[in-house]
Order: sequence, then C-alpha cells, then structure tokens
Amino acid sequence: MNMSIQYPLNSKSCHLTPEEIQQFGEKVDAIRREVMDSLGEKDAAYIYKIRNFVRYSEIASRGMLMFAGWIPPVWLAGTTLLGISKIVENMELGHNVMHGQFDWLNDPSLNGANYDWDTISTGDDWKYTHNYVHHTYTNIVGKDHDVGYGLLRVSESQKWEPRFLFNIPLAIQLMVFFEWYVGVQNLHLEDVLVYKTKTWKQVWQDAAKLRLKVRRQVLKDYIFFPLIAGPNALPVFAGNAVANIIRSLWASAVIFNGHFTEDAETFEPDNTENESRAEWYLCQIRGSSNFSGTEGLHILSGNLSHQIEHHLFPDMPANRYAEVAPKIKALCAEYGIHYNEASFIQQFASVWVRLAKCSLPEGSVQKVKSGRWKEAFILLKNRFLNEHNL
Amino acid sequence: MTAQMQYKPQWIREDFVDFLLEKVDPMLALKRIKAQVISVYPLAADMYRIKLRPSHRFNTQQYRAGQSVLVTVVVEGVRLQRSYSIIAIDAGTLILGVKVQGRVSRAMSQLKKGEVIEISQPQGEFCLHAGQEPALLIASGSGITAIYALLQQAMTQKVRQIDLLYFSRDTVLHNEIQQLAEAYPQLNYHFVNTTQQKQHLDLALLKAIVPHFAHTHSYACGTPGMMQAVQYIYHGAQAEDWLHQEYFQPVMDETLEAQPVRFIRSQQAFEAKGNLLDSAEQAGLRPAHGCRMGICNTCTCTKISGSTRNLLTGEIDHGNNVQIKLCISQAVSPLEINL
Repeated sequence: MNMSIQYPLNSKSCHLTPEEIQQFGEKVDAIRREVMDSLGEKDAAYIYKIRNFVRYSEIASRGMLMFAGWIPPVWLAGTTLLGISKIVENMELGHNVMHGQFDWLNDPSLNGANYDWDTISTGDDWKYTHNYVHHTYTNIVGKDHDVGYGLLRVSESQKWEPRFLFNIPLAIQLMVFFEWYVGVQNLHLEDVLVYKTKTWKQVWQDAAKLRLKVRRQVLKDYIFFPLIAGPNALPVFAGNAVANIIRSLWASAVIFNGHFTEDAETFEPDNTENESRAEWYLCQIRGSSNFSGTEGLHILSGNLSHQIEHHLFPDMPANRYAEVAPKIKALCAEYGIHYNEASFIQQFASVWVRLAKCSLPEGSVQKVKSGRWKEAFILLKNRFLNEHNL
Repeated sequence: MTAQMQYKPQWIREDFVDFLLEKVDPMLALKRIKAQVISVYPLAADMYRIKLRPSHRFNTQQYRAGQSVLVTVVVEGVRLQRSYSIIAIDAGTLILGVKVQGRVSRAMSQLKKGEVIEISQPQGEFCLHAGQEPALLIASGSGITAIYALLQQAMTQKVRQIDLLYFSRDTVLHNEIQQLAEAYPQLNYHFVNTTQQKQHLDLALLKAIVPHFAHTHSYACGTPGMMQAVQYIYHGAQAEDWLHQEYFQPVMDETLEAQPVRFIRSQQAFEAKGNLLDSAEQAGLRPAHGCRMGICNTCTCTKISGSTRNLLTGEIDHGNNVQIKLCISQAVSPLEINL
C-alpha cells in the first residue's frame, strides 16, 4: 500500500483505494479549474471594495479616537471599529493577498510577494511559516508548527509533557497575545525554553526582521498615534491596545476553529516526499474544519470559515470559496470523506474539549471519563516522575 | 538569506498615500507617473496616435528619440501593461503610436479625453548614433513608430544620408514621410506596400538600396519575420555590430524539453515548455504580469532552485534564490519558484 502518511485509526473518513484517490483528485482539480478560468472583473471589484472598507474604517476609527476618544461611547465605538478594521485587513485582505490570490490583478499593491500586513508578524516570515510550511505539511505532527505552536498539545500524537497540564490557560493567553505569538512563531522559542536545542543568541540573530517590524508596529500604534492626538493620547493608546487584542482574539478563534476542532485529524509524518497531489488534497480536507455563518462572519474570518476550501485552493480568491464549498461537500459525500462542518459556536466548543483532553497524557482521558479518577491520577503522577527523571 | 534580509517594513503604504492624493487630484501620486489623455486620433484602420499630458514626474529631458514608455490600463479589473514607441514629445505632450492588435491596444484606442492612466519614464536603448554618419532605418508594420522618431532625430542631427526602408500593409505615417523626403534630399525613402507587392526583406533587396549596409549604422524595428531576416542578413555579412534592433517579442529556444515547475506558495505544479509565464497560464495559473517582454518587472519573482534561460540574452542562470522575470525565462531544469 503506497500511503504517504499514516491516517489516524479513529478517522470518520473511509479508506480509499489508490484509484479512488486519483479520481477524487481529478474531480477536485476540475472544480478548481472552473473557478480559476472564470476570475474577472467581479473578483477585482470585490477585493478593492474590501481594501476601501479597511481604509475608510481605519480613518474613521482613528479619527474618532483622536478627536473624541475621551467620550466613553465614542471610545468604545472607535476602538471596536479599529479592531474590525484590523481584523478585515489581516484576514480578508492581508492573509488572502499574501497567498497570491489576487496576483493576477497585476497590481503591485495587492501582490502577494510585496504585501506586508498590519500586525507584528513580518509578511516575509508569514509567507514561510504559513504559506509554505503550514499549507504544505498541514497538521503533520513535527512538521507543521501550527500544530500547537510549540505551546499547546492539540493532538494525541504529540508527546505529552507536564507543561501541557496548563493547555487551557496557555491557550487563553495565546489568544490574547496571538499577534505576538504569530510574530515570534518562526523563532521556535520552545526550542530554547523547553528543549534547549537552540540558544538565545541564535534567536536574536533570527529575529532581525522581526525587530524592524515590531519597532514599526509599536511606534505606530503606541507612540505616533497617541502623540499626534495631544490631549487624547491616553484614550488613543488604550483604544489601539484594545483593538489589537480584539483582533488577536478573533484571529486565533478563527484559526483554532480551522484546525483544532475535535474531528480535524493530525497526521504522522511518513513519506510526504512521495505524496501525490490527490493524497495531499485528502490530507487538507481531513485536517481542516469549516464553520457556517452569515456573509459578514465569512468576511470577518477572511473566508477561513471555508478552511477546507482554503486548504485545497490556497491561491483561489477567497470570495469564491462559498461557491465551491457545496461542490466539495458533495464530492466528499460521494467518496465517504468526512466533511467537518458546524456552527462557529459548536466548532469553538469542540476546540476546548480537545484542548482539555490533550492536557492529560494518553490513557488518562478514558480513565477520567469512566470515573476512575484515582487510576488517572496515578498514571499522571508516574508520567510526571518519568519526565523529570529523564 | 541575503535576499530575505533586505526586508524593510513600510512606515506608510504607498497605495494608501496615492489613494488620498487621488482624492485631491487624479494626476497626483507619490512615485507613480500619471498621464491625462488629450486625444486619440486614427492614423489608419487599426493604428492610432494618442496624445497624453504626463504629470510633472515624467522626465522629458531624459527622453531620447527611439525610446518607448510602458503604459498601464485597466481591462476588466486587471491591470495590463504594454510598451509603446514614442513618436515624439512635443512641448510636454507625449505622442504615442498604438497599433490595435490585442486587449491593451484596444483599450488604449477606446480611451476618452480627460481619462488618467499610468505610464513609466521613457526607456529603452534603441537610440540614434551621435554625429552625422549615414543611417539605415528598416521598419515593418507598427515598427514604424519607433523608426519615425529616429528619422526625425536623424534630420535634426543633420545626418548626411538617411535610407528608410518601410514594409507595410497600410500607409501609417507614409504621407508624412513622403513630404519629408520631398523637402530633404538627404532622405531616400523606399516604401513597400505588402498588399500590392509580395516583396520581403532579403540580401539582394538591401544591397540594391544600400550597397554599403554592412558599414552603415542600421536600425531595425518590426514584425518577427522581418527581424529574423535582418538578423540573418547582418550575421551573414558579419555586420552585427552595426545593427540595432528593437524587439516586440522574445525568441524561444524550441529545442529545450518541457520541465516540471513548482510554485511553492500557491502549491501548484505544471510542465513548462515555452516561457514560464505562458506555461503557467496554460496550466490555469494567473501569475502577476505586465509587458510580457521583460521590461516592466511585474512578473519578477524569486527562483528558489533550478536553472533558467533568459530569452532576451540567452544566458543560463543556475543561481538559487535569485530574481527572475517569468515572461522572459525558460526552464532548463526542474524549477521551484516562490509564488
């Protein structure tokens, strides 16, 4: 059997023969081709409209904070709007443009290679950790750093360590400071802090680009805009800080929903080198999860609510995912592949169930479930002692 | 690694500044050059003379006869770019000759008075020699626009003798040149109307008109067929140093085999035989592009690994993490490209 990666045994998806996999891949290709051949004026108008929304909402929200930030309702409205503006800039505009989804417009300001977004992470780092590593080796434990960000345990395949007992509180603070975590993701700080395979000196060297970006972001949001607001400096400072956190919370929630839901599968690396395109498609579907909602929710989530479609077609303009989704869903039904889809709330809830389960070592979850608390505790204690004797 | 270290965050996005400036005056921009349409005038059935008023950023002083500009127009939401020869720059007015043969030139011919488009600085190396030594100008089709600019320059420079050989189906600029030929005895004008005469450029014809062509500053601009004939003749006469050419299309090496190419960011793979841009488009991909002839840099991207051949110079590039232009690169080995 020529399988590139080992699928989890508890999968909700059927096992396909190599011939079936190939057919499946061809059908996915056909769906892609149809959309890509029809790109045109409407898609161009869409992304320019999104960019104009980002521009006008940023001007309006910063204006509100700068001139009337001391009035509480105005501060609240300005801060919320700035948060939304940053969300749309990061998700529907930045993330999608940096995937090269709109390269075909030939507009240098919307070209994936040039674009840099309004967040701590440098566009350059992101295009490597996200576009290349995460999208190529999606949910492969040990290859895709998005599997827990080196901070969380989101899969049984990740080796349990005592620090993962704090999975839930760690995940909460990860959400609050998400833009910073994404910013430093490429530095692999866990290699210095936990595994001692990297030195701080190496981190400093690797962080050259990041330092430039951090300087720009911090000076802009926390020094420049407060300063030019004069007497409103404090409300502007606070508004910018809260807006950044709103964006971090939302972005992380969307991303958790895309890959950390209960049925989103993680994979063991085997021989990904020989993986065919059709096999890669399958992994993308099985490792991703969608959430349903209104058009506004899809825009705010950068259409990553269609995470499955995004992972199949990372370079397809995201405004087309909604039209592709039913076709992919039907195809999955035809081949018995589990199409992971639920409401935002359901998916988000299942993320926390999964995080809670993964905070305990293998085996102990069953014991807790069946009420054998004492056994679970002993197992945990032994694991703990083992860790420290090593 | 060095390519990555050039990273510099922008303090303020250029497109945001331009967005604000445009609200004040559509001709304003931070770095880009805008131009307003003054008139679009038909010269022949499919040939137009377009007059533009460029913004103050356009460097008229830098212009030398024979150069061209890249013009950007938006067609169905997509920005498209082409290079057009400058017929003349007259008191701040830029005059272009545009032959309608594709989407961009069609859009150009439909421009309305007062519309604002984007252009580049004058560019190109297709310029006349200094001094008064004789010149031989060879044009076909819309190549006459660049040649016409050289002709006028040759007249102002008081070049001793000018031979102009012009092959065309229509009579674009024919009357103007004829009038010049009547007024200036140093200009010998040879017009071949290809609808009436099945005459193409060959050695015998060239020898008959200019016996010493192999020692004359020669300038050729025109259709691929004519350009190939010119190259063949000058190569045979070992007179390549005297020949200056302006290309419309790069020439492919047909002997190279198709190679697998991988775009890593978009997770796409395809087989490339022709230039990388065409091959990618045939595979259903839509990489950003502009002029399609190696001028504008829009399709520039990072080649991560593999070897490419530059279609303009013939050079082979084996470097990793180097910048290539898709439109004038052909794959020599399997490639990985950061797109």
